Amino acid sequence: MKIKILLRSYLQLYFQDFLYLTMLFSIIVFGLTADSLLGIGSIRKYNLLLIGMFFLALFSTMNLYRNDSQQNKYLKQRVNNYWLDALSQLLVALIVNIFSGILIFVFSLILNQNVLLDVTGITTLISVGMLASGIATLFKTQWYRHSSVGQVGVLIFTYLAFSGSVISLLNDVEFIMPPLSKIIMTLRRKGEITALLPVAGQTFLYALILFLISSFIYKEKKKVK
Amino acid sequence: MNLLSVNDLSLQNEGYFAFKHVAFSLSQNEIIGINGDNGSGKTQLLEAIAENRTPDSGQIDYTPGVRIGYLPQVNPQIIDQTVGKYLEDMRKLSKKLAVRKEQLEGMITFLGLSPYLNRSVQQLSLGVRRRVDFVAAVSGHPNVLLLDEPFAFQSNKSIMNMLNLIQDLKDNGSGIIIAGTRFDKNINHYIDTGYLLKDNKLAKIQSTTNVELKVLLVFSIHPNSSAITQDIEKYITVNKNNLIEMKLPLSIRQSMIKKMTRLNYQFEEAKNIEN
Repeated sequence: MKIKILLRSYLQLYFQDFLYLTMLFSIIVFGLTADSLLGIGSIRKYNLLLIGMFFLALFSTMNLYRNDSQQNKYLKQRVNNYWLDALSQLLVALIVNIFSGILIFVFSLILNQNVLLDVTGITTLISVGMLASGIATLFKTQWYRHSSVGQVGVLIFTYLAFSGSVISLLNDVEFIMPPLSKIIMTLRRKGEITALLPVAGQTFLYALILFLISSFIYKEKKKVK
Repeated sequence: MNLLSVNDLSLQNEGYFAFKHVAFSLSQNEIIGINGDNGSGKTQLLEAIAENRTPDSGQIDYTPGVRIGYLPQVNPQIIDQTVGKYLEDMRKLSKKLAVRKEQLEGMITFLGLSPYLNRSVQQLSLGVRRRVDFVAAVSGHPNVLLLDEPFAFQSNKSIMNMLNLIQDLKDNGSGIIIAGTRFDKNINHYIDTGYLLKDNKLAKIQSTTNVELKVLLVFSIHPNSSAITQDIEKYITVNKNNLIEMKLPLSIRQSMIKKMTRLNYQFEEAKNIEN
């Protein structure tokens, strides 16, 4: 019952102010019109869609936590279960990213009869979305106690996500970088969406670790002397 | 039994004290009233007791098993559910410890919320929303109930109905803390211990403590009268010559007459008496 109430509340917060739906609709329109307007191929378009998915998930999850910090204080007090709350945040990010990933891919005109391509295309979009949601979750403190730390953290992680595999200086520590640029580089190098499945798995795992770290960081320690 | 003890509690916001060295305790079957001007720190104190704010120093000891119900001064949650669905969800949060479904329906009717059951909570007026939040706080059947300005935007009838529910909770073993800028005479009748929060300090108010009027009720016993239950027994002062006399707070006069009539005792007379 508690998880149902939390999920319902978080989903309501996602859709409450139309930021998510507006961004999602814009990306879908881009996917539909990029071929005819820009004349770019499927691989380039998919790369841009991945970047769009990243920012969609990043901004909408940040917006979720902003709304959450303003509205849900007393609901959480009633639910009184921190781990269930953290699990709900992970589940709602997963639900929303699955929804976005499927819609964006279906309307991108890349969908075809190759099931492996379709599954990999959707899975990679969902993984990138989860990565961005994980970054937003790790730095949700921007809506609570440490506003500046949270904002700077999001900027740094976003920069690292795009530059991890591009800047040679970071090659040695590439495995700890958010693997978005690795996906983009793999796609450029191999030229096939189906080649992304392993790195999509790595991205998803990376996102789960971010959620896990966040849940431990934000667990309140009672400090009454 | 003690439900919670607040010991030497202090809290400051950006260098300004909300309250300093606050100490009091709340017991079962007790209603505490905290008065104070706007900005005197009442809300911060309740937030600290509800564990939404971490105090800078001091300690709050909760008796194991204490469940807190909290009506905040402002609930910022935007709820698109209907009143009926929302209250049922809030009741279910407390699982087996919550009030029964029929009791919740009774509270909804008693507080005049029945016409709003199918309306979305976010569409309600401030006063009705306040009563919905009040029922939500009570629906978990908490043994510590914190009420921050519960009577704001309410008619006298609604206030009396809310007070009756509060009294009922108290009679069933809960402890209640009510914070408000000031309480009128009707509300003060229900308050067992009054405090004033002024200049960051909490002081006991002697004059408003237990000023409630009492009433003497007389019932006659009939052959088909049922046995007196334990919750009624404590008010009986005389039981002879087929007459029962009870001394009880004026605030529960009507509910007691109803209870006794249900047990087949004939109501004879009532006299107001000094405390």
